[in-house]
Amino acid sequence: KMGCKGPTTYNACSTIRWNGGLSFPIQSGHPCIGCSEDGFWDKGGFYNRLSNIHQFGIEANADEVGMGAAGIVGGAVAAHAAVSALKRSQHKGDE
Amino acid sequence: MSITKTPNGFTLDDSGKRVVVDPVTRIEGHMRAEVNINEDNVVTNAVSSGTIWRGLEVILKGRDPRDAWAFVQRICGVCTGTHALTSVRAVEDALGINIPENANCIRNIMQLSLQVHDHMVHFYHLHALDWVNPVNALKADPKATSELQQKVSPHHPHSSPGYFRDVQNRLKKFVESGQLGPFKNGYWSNPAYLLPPEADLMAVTHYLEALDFQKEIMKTRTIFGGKDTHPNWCVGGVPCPINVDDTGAVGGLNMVNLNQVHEILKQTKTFVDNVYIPDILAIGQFYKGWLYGGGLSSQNVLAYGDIPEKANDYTPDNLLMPQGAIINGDLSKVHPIDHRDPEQIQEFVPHSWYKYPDGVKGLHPWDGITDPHFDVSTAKGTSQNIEQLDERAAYSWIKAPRWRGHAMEVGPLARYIVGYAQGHEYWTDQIKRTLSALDLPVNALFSTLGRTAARALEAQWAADMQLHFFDKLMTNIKNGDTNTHSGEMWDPADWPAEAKGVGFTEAPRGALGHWIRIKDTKIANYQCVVPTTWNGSPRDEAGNIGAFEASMMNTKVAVAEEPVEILRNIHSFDPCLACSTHVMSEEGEELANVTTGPIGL
Repeated sequence: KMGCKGPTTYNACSTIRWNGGLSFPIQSGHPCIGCSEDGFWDKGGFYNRLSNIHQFGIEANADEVGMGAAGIVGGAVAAHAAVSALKRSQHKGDE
Repeated sequence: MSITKTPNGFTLDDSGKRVVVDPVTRIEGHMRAEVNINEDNVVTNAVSSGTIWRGLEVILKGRDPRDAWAFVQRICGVCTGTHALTSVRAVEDALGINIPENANCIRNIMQLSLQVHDHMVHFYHLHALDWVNPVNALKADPKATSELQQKVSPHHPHSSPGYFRDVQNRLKKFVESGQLGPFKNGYWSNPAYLLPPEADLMAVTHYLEALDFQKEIMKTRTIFGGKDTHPNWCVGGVPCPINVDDTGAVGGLNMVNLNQVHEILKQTKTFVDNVYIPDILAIGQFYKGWLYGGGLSSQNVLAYGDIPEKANDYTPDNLLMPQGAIINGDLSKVHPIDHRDPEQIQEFVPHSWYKYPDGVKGLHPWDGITDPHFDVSTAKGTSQNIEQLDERAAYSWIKAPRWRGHAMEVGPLARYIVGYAQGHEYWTDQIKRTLSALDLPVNALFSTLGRTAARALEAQWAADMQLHFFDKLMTNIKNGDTNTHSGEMWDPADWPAEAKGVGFTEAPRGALGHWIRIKDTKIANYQCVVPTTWNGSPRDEAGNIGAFEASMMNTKVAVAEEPVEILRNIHSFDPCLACSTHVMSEEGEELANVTTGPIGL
């Protein structure tokens, strides 16, 4: 609800944590802004729900599953579940 | 060749030898300084140029104002947090949002933590090598160094002769290897260095101790903000919840991490009291005759004020860092500041690489325009290799901010002068004790040495104030108040169609302000006027020189080709150039590549 990008961000923050393992953004109460992801600043606002979904797994193989120009969130959960079954179809998003 | 008298009291003579220092190192960002030196090796003309530009204000247009803090925080990782704090204040001002008391305490602790960290790292790791000669430290007697240490700071545990001998041996191996690392290309035979070898060894040792300790100071911001550099902030309060009563409260603030914060704050105070302050006094003793670099400090200083005692009250009486402007050297009159008044703070661009539609008229930040116009057609050299800038034309990416038309100095010294003029008890006491220890009159404050000392004193004050707000926070929590965020105006649906706001802080380097215009829930305009914009400012239409330029004037240089003294003056401002320049064109105009060696003639 707070727009946390943790689920779609590839980084070690939750395991290695910051400044000698002391804390990390989510632990200290703020949603993850996905700052290690390419173009994180243009993923629809830090406090808005996900509008772009990246596949999980090896980044090099990730395809972007854009949900049209308006960035509708609806299929987020379905897309996650369907990732492994999804055929390689590309929806051109804003890029 | 010409002689010009500036309205702010300097006589510029551009004859003599022209010395170019580019890049100026041991600062944040990219800067170039040019001076003219006469036959007596005295600086008679000074030109300060910001050689980079940043785009964050343009990037912000059209975005959600609640996101702005995260972007502007990334203007600079050295003064991390301060831009974010200024930003959330600007948005809260625009939307009429009040934050809870706990959020105010936590924000203050984070900002004060930055003050201490930044001042300490600046002094030891950026400034010290202008005063301290690490090569000379090799001649020191470790036993005499130990005696010096115990004399200047009897409570600091690291003081045995063996300890200093070990550091000296490390230094010896380092220097002998020929790869000098951070000490490379220094002017180590220059007579401008006045410390005896023992003081040099003591200072180099503390350089290493400070380098190690500074990573601890950051942990306060990690606990409150999730990480540091670039902790998290939030419009409406702070993002970290307080959860001291429930079990399983791993996240947020609980007694474990609050105690951790307390430990860090106490250790920080100890380090400043035992290492930083005694070093300033020790080094000050040897340099007390070197009182150049006053520049504008004796005439025009500006402080916005910061550190509100109670939440949501930014009026001067509630600010523990004082607010006010002093002009024309009149300390008996401290003028109030109004950030909304279009006649007070304005930015001019006659000598900056920008274009205003109205030519020379100054613009208040709410009406700020950033339209780049890079033109070095009258400079010597080519646009790819500038040999000498033309100060009669545009020569910097930094705009010229002015307060009621005056060029102002900002920073710890400016704050302390305003505080002194207003009778700030703690600060006046510190100033008196320092002047007495060094046996110097009040006028000595208006110098590079004074600026350097003020920074240390401010770190000492900030370390104490952190503990004050920590106690306040704990008292609140014990009384049952654990609120850290107000969600009252969080939803853009509740916002007015148009709003404008200003947020201000005292960043470590000086007065900082962000001006925002919000239209239809998005950012319509955003302007940052930053401390180094004030200090690094080029000339304005009337010919007033900026603070950096003024501080270089009339300085005597021992060796013209080794401008230690000039660097010492510039560094005393703790320049942060990434912060100071506005941004330009989205197309990416080609910037002149000024990467020559340290000196060009």
